[in-house]
Amino acid sequence: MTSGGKPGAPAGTPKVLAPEDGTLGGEELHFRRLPGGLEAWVWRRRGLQNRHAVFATRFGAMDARFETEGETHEVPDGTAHFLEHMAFDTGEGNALNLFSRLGIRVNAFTSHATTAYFFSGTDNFWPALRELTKLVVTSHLTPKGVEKERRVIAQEVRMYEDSPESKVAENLLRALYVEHPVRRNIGGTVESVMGIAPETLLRCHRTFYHPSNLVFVAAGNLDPERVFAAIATTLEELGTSGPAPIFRRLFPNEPPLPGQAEVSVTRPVQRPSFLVGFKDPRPIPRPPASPSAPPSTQPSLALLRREIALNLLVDIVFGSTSPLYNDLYRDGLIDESFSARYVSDLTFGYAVAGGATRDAAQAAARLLEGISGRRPKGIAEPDLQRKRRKALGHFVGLADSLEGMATLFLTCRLKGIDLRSYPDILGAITLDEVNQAFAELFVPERASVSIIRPGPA
Amino acid sequence: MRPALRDLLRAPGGRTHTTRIEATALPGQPVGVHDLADGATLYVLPAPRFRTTHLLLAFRQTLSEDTVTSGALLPRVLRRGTRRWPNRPSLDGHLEDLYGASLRTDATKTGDQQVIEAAFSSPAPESLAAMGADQGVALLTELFSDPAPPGPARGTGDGLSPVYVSEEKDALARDQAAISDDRMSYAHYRCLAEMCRGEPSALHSLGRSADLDGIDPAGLDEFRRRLLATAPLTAYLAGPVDDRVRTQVAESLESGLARWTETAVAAGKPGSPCSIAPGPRSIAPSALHPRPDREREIIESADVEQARLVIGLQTGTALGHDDYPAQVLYNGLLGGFVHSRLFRRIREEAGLAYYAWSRLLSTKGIILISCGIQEAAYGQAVGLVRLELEALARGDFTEAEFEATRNSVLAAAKARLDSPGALIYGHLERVVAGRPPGEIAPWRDLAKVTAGEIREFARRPVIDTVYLLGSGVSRQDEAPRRVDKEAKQP
Repeated sequence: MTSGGKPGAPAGTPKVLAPEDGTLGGEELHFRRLPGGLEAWVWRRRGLQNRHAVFATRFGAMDARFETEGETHEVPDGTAHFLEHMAFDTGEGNALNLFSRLGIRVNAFTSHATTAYFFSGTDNFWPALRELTKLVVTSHLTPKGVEKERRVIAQEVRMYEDSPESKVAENLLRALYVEHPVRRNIGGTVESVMGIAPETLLRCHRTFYHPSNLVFVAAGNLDPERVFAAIATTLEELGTSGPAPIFRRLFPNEPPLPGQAEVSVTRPVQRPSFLVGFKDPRPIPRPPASPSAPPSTQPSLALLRREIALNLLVDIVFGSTSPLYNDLYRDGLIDESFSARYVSDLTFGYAVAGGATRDAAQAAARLLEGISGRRPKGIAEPDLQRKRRKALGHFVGLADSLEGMATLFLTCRLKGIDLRSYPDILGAITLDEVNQAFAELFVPERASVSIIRPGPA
Repeated sequence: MRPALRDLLRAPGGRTHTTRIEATALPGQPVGVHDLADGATLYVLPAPRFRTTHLLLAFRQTLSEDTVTSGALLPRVLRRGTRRWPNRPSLDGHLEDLYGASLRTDATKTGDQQVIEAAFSSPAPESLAAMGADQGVALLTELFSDPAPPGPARGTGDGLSPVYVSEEKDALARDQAAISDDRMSYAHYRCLAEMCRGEPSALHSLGRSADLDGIDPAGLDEFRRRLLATAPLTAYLAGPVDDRVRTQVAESLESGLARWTETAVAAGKPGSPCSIAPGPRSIAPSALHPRPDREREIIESADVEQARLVIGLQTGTALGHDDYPAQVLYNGLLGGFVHSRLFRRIREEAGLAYYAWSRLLSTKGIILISCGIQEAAYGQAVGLVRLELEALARGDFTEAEFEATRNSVLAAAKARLDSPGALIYGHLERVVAGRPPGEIAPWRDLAKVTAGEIREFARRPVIDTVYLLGSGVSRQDEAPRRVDKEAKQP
């Protein structure tokens, strides 16, 4: 493990890393730009049995309005997630079975910013890689297949409807954001899922699943040249490396302050839960207008630095060593389920803290009070040092998880961030910048509270 | 120079369509064994490939109404602090100084046993591995031996802090009251509790709310001392550790055990407030669930958006039995994977559910089938499950299904080598079953299973309990109802 910046040293300027070969977590990292503009990485982690591969597209639940081929489109909530399900319909049966026959575990997820497809397995990596490449870049969906999958997705949506954790988080985003599509529900509702047409899914695939809008990462004991060659061959065979579609995402203007201070609903649960969110006022670079022009590395470095600084701050202020955590815990207002973190993407950012409680209104009020009490005092250097050390240790430990490292690296790449800068930036963050972020972000007017109380649905 | 892309694909060894996973290529994980005392063993899984060092101390007791709630409460109180680090800020601050080491305590259920455990892990680039293990074993033994004392000042008084006990009792009570908020795990628990009525494993690992009032700091501390002096201890060390580290960890645990036994002897002397006789640190292995004489149907109501169906099968085969590997493959054919019968019939063909799977309760001889459905589809879903069970019982599966299942089972077994947690808990499960292996290589047995052996096994599972957590709406009931009716003999 190496750390470029000395903890406590004055702010240095971390090196800007261009996409090229290097090392990550003490292991080789290889980069290649493949046909169609696909950005591909191999993290050669030796010593483990599994091998992991993931493709992600810069198309998620919040990419709901866009312009392409001279037309403006707005798609129903749940479209990106529906398309994720349909990718497994290969025209020759469900691809899930195919991977399973190889002894490969395959899955996918949809978030606000991305849809990702991944597999892990100890054997049969090469046929699985070929299948994964095919299922991402080509679409075989049929109206009949869409109708069948609609029922399965409706069950998935209902499952989340029964989960207080999902509900409280969705409601928080709807309170924090007025216009921004991060307030859209990732899975949609049973009604919106019913309204998603096969043509809409096909158009989204054509627009957003071109290799130029994808990032690929493989992790494990793999020959990088062979990985790059395998993907390139498959892409050429499929004829998908033609010119990139031109599209523009349409983002409304989002006011800097939350739309609602509090949203409180009842659900048929025994235990209340709460989340407090703080909307990040800092303007963050917009995503590239054209997918072939990735964001320059300098703003993305600023974004990574902001994420690291804010996560250190959130841990200092809300973590289990903080007075606030311990006061609330002693009074039974939080428990082991409490967590806090800073979340950001190119077009939004917020800090969030909360969990299960015995009294949601009181827990939220006490948390806001505690923050306001601490803010004038700021934080001290020893706290920052300690959290820096902890974060560095977690980064080292991440090398034991192929999936964890690959996913983190990937989500960073989707924002144009190079995770290799992590130790340097971690070392360079100053007390002043953390305190400044504290003063800016954790103010009452930036906060929204989301509450679930026991009661009828 | 980078070789041309196509050449690479055609290079020898570049064949891409071998699908059968061969057992001969699969390595094993040796297990080092240190007998610390009667009923106390340290297992060492040396793994230079990991960047994290892991330690686990697990005390085991048979689940019983008398002790399950104390067992659930104790690890929560211990996590609050030790004599040296008497509160969360100081204890967790210490962990942060150790490069963000993690410390977790828990009370879990494996078969008929409650496992009261504390786990430590720390990032371990080679230079820090020894330090991490030393600090870890010191902290874990201290956690059990020297809990934060009751006195307001550091290091004063003896026993458990009444403040911590009281706060953790409240927190546990809230957790107990909220078990139904997670619909899926609640449905699993309820099905199992009904199925195993009268068996230790019917109890919830969080214990019973009615017991909490009767637990005070002195009683809980006596429970702690008794556990340390009499419960079997299974300890694990896994990660990039050398002989010096393993010897040191073994010695630390030996001296901890000696101290725990001495304390118990002292406490057991006449005039002492509590009486604990040390030893013998023995426990009955988890017992098989008996064959049901009839099939039962249990229907319960809650305000749910999605109904949860759980079907408990009795199989009579547990970990360590000769036909256990055949059971693993049987479960794989039935519902272990996305190519399995349940997923294909219930989700892909009928579109009734988002999830539909089965899993083994390895020490009980039970398979649980689980899916989330619209309540109106209850009869249809149960019917589909019955059809698949009957088909498998007739031996009706293809060579392709067998190969797919075999590959998936072997790949999953092999992948465990990548996860210290999977290695440790997989081994602990075998300890609970009373059959600790000397090497972790379950695929050796799994790879030998033939289609004929699966067909032989497939005749044995029977439906024990069909459980539904529904809203009652689509069955048009006026009020929540509870059905416990007899069904035809399977």
